[in-house]
Amino acid sequence: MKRLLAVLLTVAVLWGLNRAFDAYLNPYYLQILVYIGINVVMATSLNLINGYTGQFNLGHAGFMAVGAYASAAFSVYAHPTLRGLLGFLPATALDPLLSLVSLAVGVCAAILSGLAIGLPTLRLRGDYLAIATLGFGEIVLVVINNMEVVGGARGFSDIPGYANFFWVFLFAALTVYVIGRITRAAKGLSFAAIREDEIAALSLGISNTRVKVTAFVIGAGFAGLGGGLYAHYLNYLHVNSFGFLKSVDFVVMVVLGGMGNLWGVVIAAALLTMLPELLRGFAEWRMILYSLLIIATMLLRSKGVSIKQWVRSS
Amino acid sequence: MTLLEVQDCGISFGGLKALSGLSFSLKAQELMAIIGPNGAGKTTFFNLLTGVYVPTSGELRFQDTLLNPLKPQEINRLGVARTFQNIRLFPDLSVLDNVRAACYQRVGYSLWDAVLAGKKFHAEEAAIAAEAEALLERFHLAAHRNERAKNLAYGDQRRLEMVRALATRPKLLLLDEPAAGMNASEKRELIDLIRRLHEELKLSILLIEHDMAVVMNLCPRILVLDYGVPIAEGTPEQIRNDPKVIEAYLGERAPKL
Repeated sequence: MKRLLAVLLTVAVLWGLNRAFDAYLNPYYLQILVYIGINVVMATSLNLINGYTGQFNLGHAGFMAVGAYASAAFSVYAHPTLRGLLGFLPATALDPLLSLVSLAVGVCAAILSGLAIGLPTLRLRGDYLAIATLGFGEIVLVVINNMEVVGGARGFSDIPGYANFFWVFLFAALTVYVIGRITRAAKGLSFAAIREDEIAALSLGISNTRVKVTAFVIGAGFAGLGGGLYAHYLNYLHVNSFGFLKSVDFVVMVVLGGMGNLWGVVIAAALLTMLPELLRGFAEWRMILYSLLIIATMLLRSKGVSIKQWVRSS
Repeated sequence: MTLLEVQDCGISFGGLKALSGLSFSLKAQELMAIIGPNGAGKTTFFNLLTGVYVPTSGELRFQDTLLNPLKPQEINRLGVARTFQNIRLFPDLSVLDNVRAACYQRVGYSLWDAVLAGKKFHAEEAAIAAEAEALLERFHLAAHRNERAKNLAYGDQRRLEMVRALATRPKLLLLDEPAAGMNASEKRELIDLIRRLHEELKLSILLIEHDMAVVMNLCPRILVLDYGVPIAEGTPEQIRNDPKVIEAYLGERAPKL
């Protein structure tokens, strides 16, 4: 009952904000807000893999691309048929329904790719896993670049625009809620146990392969969700948006927010989305700034930013 | 009733025979120590028993289940839990979460249930938390429940590792040098603790230990290894007087206790 109330309240507040922002907020700021929401989905899902479970996934943008292109392709090619079949529904119900189906298709595609990459590579550790996932990200881009049905190197345009502030933040909240729930439950402590000491975890009956694959599948699924939202917000996709540096962006968010620190990573995702916008004039310095930030984090606060400590120290 | 049956067990790493020709059986609720000089193969035997290594010869059976082909997590599910020589806690998790994490294998809900957070999930989480709390209480660690494991004092870390192993509800507990690095009073406490575990929980315990006071006080049966070969087995009295053992390990006649 309490939970139902919380859900209704969240939906109502987001709905209200959405209307208000549409009417009064500068579209440029609104766009940044939406990007923050998408990056929260991406960074939080990567946090499950890199932060909680301690695996080094360096191809998160690859999962995002799979989700983005799969859901966009579904919207472009299957929606006209579905619209014909479901024509009896009113437009206000049909649009959200179809967009949810599209997102689900993206999530499923990303989950499948997560399984495909996860099962064979999770025996690899550390650097080797990072290289394998990096390779996966690059392969995805090469494949998409050569697929004419999704526009190939020209990019995929005319994707219907279902996603807005409301949907993006609803799913961002869902992502944070789900990852937060599962990592705090006794069963989900297995993610952190694998990160902390794999041999000890095994000796306690925790199956390492199973836990790692689960983390990869859930993480990839949410990355696919983030990709689907991105595709339907921007209405245009190009492989260049999902390059290696995009994966690095997400890793930086997780490292800066603190590995396995739920809200730290959310804050870091928001900050690092705004930062390049604030520093427009220094765009070419961004990567230097990032590396300095990471070095500073490693030296000063290897657990990332933490609200609790801010409160305590101020 | 025989709990553990070790038959002509051994392992070679390349040309090095780390352990060979080890045979013994352990009855239910028995308390036995394995001693021997450094490099005698004691920890190697624990690693064989828990599936970290696979024996290159012989058989290990736990309650008639052949352990040789099983993985560590499967062996734990049969009821064998261990601690490690160099403590292996989950250092950044809280003391309570260290114990809760060990309940993994008997959790009945799925991660879906954790997301949906229904009645069944909450009931089970509460039961696990209560069990973990009770174990911590029993081992005088309850006051530290919210501290990170790495911030505990050394003796507390050793005890937490035992609690964590117990949380998997084992039938056989393997303790790898539980007294290492402890002072005299901590050792006395430890002896009490192990004796209580053995009696109250009706556990079978295999113990690797260098500290003769602990071993001789605690274990009615002792197995001695040297260079990967068993050289003696018997009561503390027999071991103390066994010339082979004295030569290999004790150096001189052990003091009367």
